[in-house]
Amino acid sequence: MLSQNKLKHISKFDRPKLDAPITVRVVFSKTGNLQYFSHLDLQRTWQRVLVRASIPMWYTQGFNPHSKIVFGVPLPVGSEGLEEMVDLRIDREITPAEIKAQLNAELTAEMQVSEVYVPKTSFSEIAWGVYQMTLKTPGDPIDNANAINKILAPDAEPIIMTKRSKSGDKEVNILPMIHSVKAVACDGLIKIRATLRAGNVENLNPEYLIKAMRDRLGILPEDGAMDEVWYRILRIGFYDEAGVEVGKWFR
Amino acid sequence: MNQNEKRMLLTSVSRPGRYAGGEYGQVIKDKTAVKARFAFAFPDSYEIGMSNLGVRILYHCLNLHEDIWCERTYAPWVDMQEKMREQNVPLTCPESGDPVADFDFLGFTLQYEMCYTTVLNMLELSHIPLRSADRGEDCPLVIGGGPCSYNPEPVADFFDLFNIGEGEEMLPEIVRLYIKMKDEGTYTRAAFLHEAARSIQGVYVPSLYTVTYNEDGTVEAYTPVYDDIPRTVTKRIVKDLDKTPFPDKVVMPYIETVQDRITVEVGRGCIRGCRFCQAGMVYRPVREKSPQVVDCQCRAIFESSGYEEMSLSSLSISDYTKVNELTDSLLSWSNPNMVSLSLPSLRADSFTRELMDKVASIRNSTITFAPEAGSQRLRDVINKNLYEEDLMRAVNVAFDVGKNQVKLYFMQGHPTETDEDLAEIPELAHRVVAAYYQNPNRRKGQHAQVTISVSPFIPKPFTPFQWEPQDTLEEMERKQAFVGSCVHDRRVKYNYHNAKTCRLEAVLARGDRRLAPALEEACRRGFKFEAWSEFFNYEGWMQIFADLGIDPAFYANRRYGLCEVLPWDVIDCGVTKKFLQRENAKAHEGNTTPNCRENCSGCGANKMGGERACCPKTN
Repeated sequence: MLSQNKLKHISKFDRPKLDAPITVRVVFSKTGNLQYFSHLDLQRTWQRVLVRASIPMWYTQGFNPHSKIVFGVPLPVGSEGLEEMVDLRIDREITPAEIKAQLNAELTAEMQVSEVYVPKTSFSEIAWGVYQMTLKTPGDPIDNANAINKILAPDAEPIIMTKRSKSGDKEVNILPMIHSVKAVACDGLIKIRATLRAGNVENLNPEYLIKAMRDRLGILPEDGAMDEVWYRILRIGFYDEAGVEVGKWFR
Repeated sequence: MNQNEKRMLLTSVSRPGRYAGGEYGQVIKDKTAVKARFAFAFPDSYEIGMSNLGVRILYHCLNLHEDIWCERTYAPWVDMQEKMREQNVPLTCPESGDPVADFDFLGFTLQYEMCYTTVLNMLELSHIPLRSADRGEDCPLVIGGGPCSYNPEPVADFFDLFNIGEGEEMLPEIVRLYIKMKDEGTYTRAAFLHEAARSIQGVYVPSLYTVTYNEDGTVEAYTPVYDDIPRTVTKRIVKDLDKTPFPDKVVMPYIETVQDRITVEVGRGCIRGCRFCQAGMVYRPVREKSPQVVDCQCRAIFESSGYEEMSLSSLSISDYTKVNELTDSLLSWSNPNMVSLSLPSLRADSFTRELMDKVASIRNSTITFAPEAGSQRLRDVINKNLYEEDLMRAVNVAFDVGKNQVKLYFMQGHPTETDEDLAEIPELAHRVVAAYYQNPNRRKGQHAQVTISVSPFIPKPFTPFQWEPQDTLEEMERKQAFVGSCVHDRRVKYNYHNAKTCRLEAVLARGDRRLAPALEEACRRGFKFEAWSEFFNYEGWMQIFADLGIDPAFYANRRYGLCEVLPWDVIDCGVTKKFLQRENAKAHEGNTTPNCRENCSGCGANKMGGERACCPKTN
């Protein structure tokens, strides 16, 4: 059973109160089966995880008290993530190590906390997300990788796509939202590392890259057999505007 | 299916979280180390199935056995079914990802008649033959249980075995018998079914009973094919609810489900004896859990789930003898932990200010009561034992604390009903509106809103009204329009159920084995998810009945003879036929029967025993 090694948590009520609530950042993975759950599902799940892990959350005062949790950049359904982030507001003494241990005891292997720290940054500074994509498709992987690099290069022909937003559908060129794309052939598969716009100002869902490859290169045919044609997307981290140039991860 | 294939399949359908699995709290075992694998199927969508308390309980009970691995499966939504057929992917269980057809058992819970076609649909998706007679030695044993199994006859041909009654002990016993016979080398499908029917109380193996019919189409007799199996199958109950296994943790859905909260039963059965209500009869004898046990179970689930809502489950929560003691102890820890408490199924006559102040539903502005009939005469016929004064007192308690919306549930088509009775439904609603404006404590500046919801009567097996005909479709629809025409106040909102669905439900509820070809044909024609109005096809059903020469009126609109052999007479649900006949006669005389606590009405269910029951003991 997944929850067999459950810790006996210290009740949050037994912890001394802090003078003022503080924010801690929790870095966690969302992999495997959890890629099929939406951001909304994730928010609801975390509300419950925090309760059963007895994390001393600060509650808003007023008519309908609720805990305050803020997520980093939402992960699209169908993508996995290794460095997802959530900021929590706590109001009692608890160490980062305790938070990590208590949370991991209440999570499955597909979602585990890797790090807990007091952040110096805000999620609004996130500018780029880094994705690793793995593709299996008919054709020569080396030729396909080269073709991908060509069409997604910064100086390539504009790729106009319909982006859905709350204010309606919009035609946009996705190339300016790509920092870099590098595709290589590896064991008969294509591996891509892509740095794409991320954050609440501008965000490029990696699925648009898949669509561009499908439309322009005819790879990943939609009617292909499931064992012949597939792809996976994994988000491995974030950069802020300065970090992307020097390769310093957002923390 | 490997992870890459799974990804391509799931990302091509809506709400892929329904099929992903990987929930916190799911039970994973080593499949090479277990001796029996059980697929627990809920014949509706994941969102509905995950909300079911019975599934939670039985999943737990089976998995308590180290050598049994119980997994779950739900009906894939139509878009997923299309993809599965296209890619030739069979129905699987998310825990292991293995096809249902590879399991030892496939158990369906039958919560409502309108799920029958989805059961067949799921068998088809599993590549398992629909009829038990066509299944080979390697096919899973298909088991049915749940409320509808009290008349399993319309689906009898599709099941190898039914659980009649409460499954906590019976279901593991069935699987243990299977393991034992496999270990001993005595297992064959036929030998196992015979032995289960012979030795485990509550097991009904339909293929071991032959049915003969009279010339007029009614049942002549049920005959067991072996001498050593019971002539009638007596339902099973768990004797002591305090000692029965109850899950201390639940499988936590990631996606939003219908009821996603802590749910704990306070007892089973209902003391009231409303004459239309199947649950009120088949769950007898009335048994309670101790408040300390309910409190511990709620607390344990809270700690393992982190749920922010808690609900007590019962057919009539305010009839629980220790309701105040229990709610006090729950609130002592739920309040500081920000967990809200809700109490469904409140009766107007036991609804108090004290109870109201305790429950979270005070935050919503709606409160619901079920008078079930508009006139006192008809409420006496159905044995509701509720007076208008009770209802008026209850709504005034609600108005006193600032509520302005009241929902009232009714039924139409009760035996002996006249248009005068029906006209009383809107009249009662009008009087509730008037009571609002006469209440000096009402919230100023708010208008009253009274919703009346009226659903057609469906005669159900093992109720005093089991013999009664349902109104014809035309009459049901005429009555619906008539009630609407009697509403003269825009503060009264009128809702009603689809009469066509209720008619088919009546056919299936009182049906016999001769309906199997119709269900089979419905599955062949692609019927499924019929509890969803967008998928229910009444005209399609009428066509099937016409094509197969089945008269739906024989089942829905016929007055069954008080002495005729009923299709469900092969089952003994605890209450006697004599009692039901007595209650039926009293209904027609307009006489009520006191509730179980006031006076034992001799229904017969006390013979089953049970701790903390309100029945007199038998010798």
